[in-house]
Amino acid sequence: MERKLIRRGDLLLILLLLLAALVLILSSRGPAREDVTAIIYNHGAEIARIPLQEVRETYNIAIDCIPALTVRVEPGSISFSHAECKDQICVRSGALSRPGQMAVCLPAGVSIRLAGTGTEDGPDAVTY
Amino acid sequence: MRAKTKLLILLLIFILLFCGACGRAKSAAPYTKNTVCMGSLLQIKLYCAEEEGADTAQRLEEELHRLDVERLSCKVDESEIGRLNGAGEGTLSEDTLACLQTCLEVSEACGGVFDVSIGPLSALWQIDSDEARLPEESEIAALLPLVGYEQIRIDGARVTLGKGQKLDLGAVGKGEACDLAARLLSETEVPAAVIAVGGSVLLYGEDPQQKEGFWNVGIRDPEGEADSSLAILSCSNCCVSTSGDYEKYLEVDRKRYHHILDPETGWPAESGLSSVTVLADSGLLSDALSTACFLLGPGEESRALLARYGAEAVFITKDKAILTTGDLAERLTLRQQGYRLEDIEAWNAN
Repeated sequence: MERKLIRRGDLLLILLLLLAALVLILSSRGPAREDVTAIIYNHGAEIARIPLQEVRETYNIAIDCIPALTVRVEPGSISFSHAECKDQICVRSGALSRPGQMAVCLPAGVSIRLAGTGTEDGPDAVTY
Repeated sequence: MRAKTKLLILLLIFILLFCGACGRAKSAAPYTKNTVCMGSLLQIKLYCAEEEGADTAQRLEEELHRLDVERLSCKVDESEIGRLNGAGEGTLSEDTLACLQTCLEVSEACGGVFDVSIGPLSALWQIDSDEARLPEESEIAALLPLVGYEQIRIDGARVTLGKGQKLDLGAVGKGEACDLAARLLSETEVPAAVIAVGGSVLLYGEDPQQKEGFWNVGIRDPEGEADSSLAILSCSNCCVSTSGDYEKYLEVDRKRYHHILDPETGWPAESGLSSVTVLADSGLLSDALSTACFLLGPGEESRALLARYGAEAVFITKDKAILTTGDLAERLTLRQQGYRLEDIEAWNAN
């Protein structure tokens, strides 16, 4: 009786394992997911972590600092909405929505950084 | 199928699975911390375990704060530079003296366009504060004789300033902070890190998430928002600094007066450039050279200065031409429309 080189069961096993390997490789190298978390720091200390995809309604956060700041949290974005200072640089930074974006109020020592769940598509740093 | 063949196939599959797992491990998120230090945003990104990252970041923050208030800040009377400015003479620590000596060397190499004795003029303009004002021409003229690195005398660790001179190391403070951060990191097990002190960036080691190991540094669009990059520069194991006319300025009657003062005139420098980004081995050099090159423009003087220190630069002109030295054009990816990459030789010839 002639023996087959590869049986049907062997073929199925090989295909399944190859498929598993492929899925694992692709999941580790694939594009970043869109989930974005806003992290608010006050003088380096993390004071809030907000998953922006989970935000359903707009709300404000008053930051206890000098000068006083208000942060507006919206579905998918976050921004400094009010600052009791002269230059208003942080307010002019506008809404942040993409991983890697950042806004800072230097007089108050408060910054907001957006982190993604995957590899951030922005640069590692910006020189200015 | 023979057992040996089956074994071989299974082995191959396991190798593939292992490679996949390695890819996942490489993309592990770094420890990050953002805070405010030296009057700027300090961004710390460390590729190491959480606990080690937290300890290292804490130490970095403390040491950089000390660098500012105990050594370099001319706005702190008790700092080494503050005391030297107050007394006109004094003894500096080894590190501060080395920093000053490098500054003086660069001043000499660039014909004095970069000069840390600019203190009286920067104090007059105060562009980086709420007290900023447009000075009278006569006020500037009265202070110009006080600016001149040649008047500074160094004898061992003892430094004597010329009469009425004040040092302002603001142009190199953040770069020196990058160098201090690099020294501190070399004492740890952290293999790769990005430390940005304001716009001065230390790229420590190689990016573990990139095959070639290059980090991506955005060059700020001079006409864009604070987080918009006109180009991305790929590099590793170096420091990158930018001097630009858009970051700090005073606006009077719709005219902008930026913070990079020309030591010869006492007025903001006019060289037809919006910014200069310099890539060098040290942050002190990348800071000092970016200021010098901003004043010199993209001509032969800048290129000779950069070559002397093994540095490279990206010049952005007011009319949106991007000029590069060395091989930087190949490591630059444009992000914004409206800018164009031009040959620096041809641009200077025209």
